[in-house]
Amino acid sequence: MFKRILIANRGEIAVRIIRTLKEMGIETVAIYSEADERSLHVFEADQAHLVGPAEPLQSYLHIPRIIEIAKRTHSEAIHPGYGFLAENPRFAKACEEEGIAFIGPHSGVIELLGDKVLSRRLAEGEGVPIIPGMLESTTDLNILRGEARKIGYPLIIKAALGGGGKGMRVVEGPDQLEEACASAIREAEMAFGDGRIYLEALLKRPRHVEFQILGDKAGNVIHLFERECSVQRRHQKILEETPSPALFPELREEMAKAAVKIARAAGYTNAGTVEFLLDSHLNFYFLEVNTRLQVEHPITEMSVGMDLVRQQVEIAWGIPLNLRQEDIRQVGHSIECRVYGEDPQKEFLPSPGPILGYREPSGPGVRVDSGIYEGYEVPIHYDPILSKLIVWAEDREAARRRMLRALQSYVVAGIPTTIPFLMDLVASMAFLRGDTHIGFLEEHFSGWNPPKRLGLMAAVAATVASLGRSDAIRPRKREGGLSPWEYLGGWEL
Amino acid sequence: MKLYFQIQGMGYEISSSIDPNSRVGEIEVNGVRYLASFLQRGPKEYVIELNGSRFRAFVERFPDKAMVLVNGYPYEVESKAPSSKAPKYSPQVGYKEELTPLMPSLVVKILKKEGDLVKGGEPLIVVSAMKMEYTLKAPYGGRVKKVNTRVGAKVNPGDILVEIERTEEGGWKES
Repeated sequence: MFKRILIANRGEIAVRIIRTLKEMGIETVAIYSEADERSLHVFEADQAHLVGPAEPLQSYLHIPRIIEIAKRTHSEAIHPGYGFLAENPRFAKACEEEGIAFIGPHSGVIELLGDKVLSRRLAEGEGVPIIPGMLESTTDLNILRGEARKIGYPLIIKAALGGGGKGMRVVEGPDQLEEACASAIREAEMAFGDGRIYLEALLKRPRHVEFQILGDKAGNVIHLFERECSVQRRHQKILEETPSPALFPELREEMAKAAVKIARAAGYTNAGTVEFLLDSHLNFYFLEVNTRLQVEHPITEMSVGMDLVRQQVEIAWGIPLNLRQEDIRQVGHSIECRVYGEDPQKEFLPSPGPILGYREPSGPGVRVDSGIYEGYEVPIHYDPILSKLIVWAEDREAARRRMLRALQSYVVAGIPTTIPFLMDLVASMAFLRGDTHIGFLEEHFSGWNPPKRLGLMAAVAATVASLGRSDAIRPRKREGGLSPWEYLGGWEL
Repeated sequence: MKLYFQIQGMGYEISSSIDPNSRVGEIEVNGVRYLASFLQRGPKEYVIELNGSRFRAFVERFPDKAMVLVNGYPYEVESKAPSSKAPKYSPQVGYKEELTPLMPSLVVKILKKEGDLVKGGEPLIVVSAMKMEYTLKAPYGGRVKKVNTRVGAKVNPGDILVEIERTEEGGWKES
C-alpha cells in the first residue's frame, strides 16, 4: 500500500480524506496557501507545506508547485478531492508522467468525459437516452441558430467544458438566442479557456438523480445506487438524499444499468458519478459524468456502509474490487445538508468572517464533515462551503426529523450560514412530500427570512446574557452610562 | 433593570427582575409580562424557559450589539436608546388580559373572593414555582366574577384562575 499521500485540496474535503488515510496507516501531506495557514486540514495532516499565495491559480491550481511538493515529500500518490484540479486532465497527466499515482481515473478518461458533447455521443452510442439537442459544440452563431430552430424553445445553452453552472443560459424565445449565446461563449471562454457551447431542450421540472460508480483496473464496474440532488440554488446543490423519493425498483435498476454501461464504455476506473435528469413523466436522460469524488458522497457511504475514499485508494493501488454488485445493499435513508458561509437572506451572498462560536450536533446516525472550528476565520478566496451535516435513519421521515433535530443543535455563530434556511427547508411540507425538482427552491423559498416571532426570544436571551454568570465574580460598579454589553463584559472572567 | 433593544427593525423595551443567582424572575417585554428562568452552559449558551416553554439560545456579545441564535435562527440584537423610533414588536400571545400563571405553579394563597371589587394591579393570587413565590395581580379593575382554583392546586399557563367582570377602561401595567 502507499506509504504517503499528498492531498491537493483544502477545507472539509481535505480533512475528510486525511481521516481515512490515517485509518489506513498512510502518512498524509497537506498543502496550503498563505490564506490557509490556520485551516483545519493543516492541523490534521502529518505534514503541511506552503504551496503559494491565496489566489487559487498561484496555489491549489498551480500544477508544477504541487508536483514539486509531492516529489520533495516522496508522496507516492495525490488525492485531488473535488473542485480545483480534481477534473483537470493536465494535472492527472502530470502525475502519470512523474510516476505519482493520481487517485482518480486515467487522464484520457477525464479528458473524454470532461467534454460534455463527447460524453453525450458516448451515451447515445450505448443506447442511453440523452436530452434532445446538439451532438457538436461550436461558437458559430449561424449553426446555433439553425440548431435552435430544430430543438424548439425554451432551450438551454451549455458550455462544452461546463461545470458549476458556468456558461449556462435558459433561452425562452428566438429573439433572446443570439445575445444569450454570445454571453455564454464569453463566460465559458473566461471559465474554461474554451468558448464552445451547445444547445439542449429544456426539461420541465426535472429531478437531478445521479449514480455512484466504482471501477477497478481489472475492468470491474459496480454502482452504489443513486443520490437525488434536486434541491439547488444557482445550479449548485444544497441538500442531497438517497434513496431518491421518485425512483421505484425497476426504474432504479434501469438507470443503474445505464450508468454502469457508460462507465464501462469510457474505460472508467476509480470513483465517479453518472448524472441524469428525470422528467415529470419519469423518463431519464443522461446529463454528464463527474470524474471525481462528489461533495455529497457521504450519503452513499451511510446507506451502503462503505468508505469511498478507502475504495479510491485501494483501486489506485491496484487492488481489484472485492465486492460484487449483488453484495451492495441500500439500507435506510440518508440526507446531507451543505452548510455554506452564505447569507440566505441576501441571495446566498458569501459571508466570510470569523467563527465566534461553534458546536457540532451529535447523536445516533449523525455525521459532520467540517473544515471549520471556533476561532477560525473563513477566508474570502475559496468556495464558501464550511461543513456538511449528514444523517442516516431507518426511513426518509426518520432521517428528515433527525436532520431537523441536528440542524437545530448546530451552532455556527459569527457569520451568516445556510443553517436556518436549511431548517425551514427540511421542516417544510414541500420537502416532506418529496416533490423536489431543480426549480424547488425558487418555487417554495424565494425571498426567505428567518421567523420574526423569535425576535422576542432573542430579546429575552440578550437580557439573560446581560445578567452575567451567576457564578461569576462581580466587578466593581463603574459610574456612567455604559451599554449592557460593556457592563456585562466586565463580568466575564 | 431596564433595557432597550432593536431586532430586525423592531423595538423591544424590557424590564427584568430575573435574579442572576436563582436564575428565575419576571421579564416584561413591550408591556407584556412573562415568567422566565434559565440554565447556562459555558459563557455563551443558555436554555431559557419563558412561560413554561423552553428554547435554546447562543449569545455572542459585542460592545453595542449581540448576535443571538434562537433554536438555530440568528438575530442581531442592537442595544438602543429608549428614544429609538423603531416600531414596537407586539406579540400575539401574552397573558396581560387574563389572570393566568406564567409557568406551571402551585396556588399558595387566594386573596379575593367572588363579588369583591378590585383595582387594576391589586394582588389576587399568590403562586409558587421553582421554589419562588409570585403574586398574580388584577390585569384591570372590576368585580370578581368567579374563582376557578383553590389553595394547593397545580395550575398551568392558560388556566384562567380568576374571572373578572371588567369595569375600568385600559389595562394595568406594572411600573
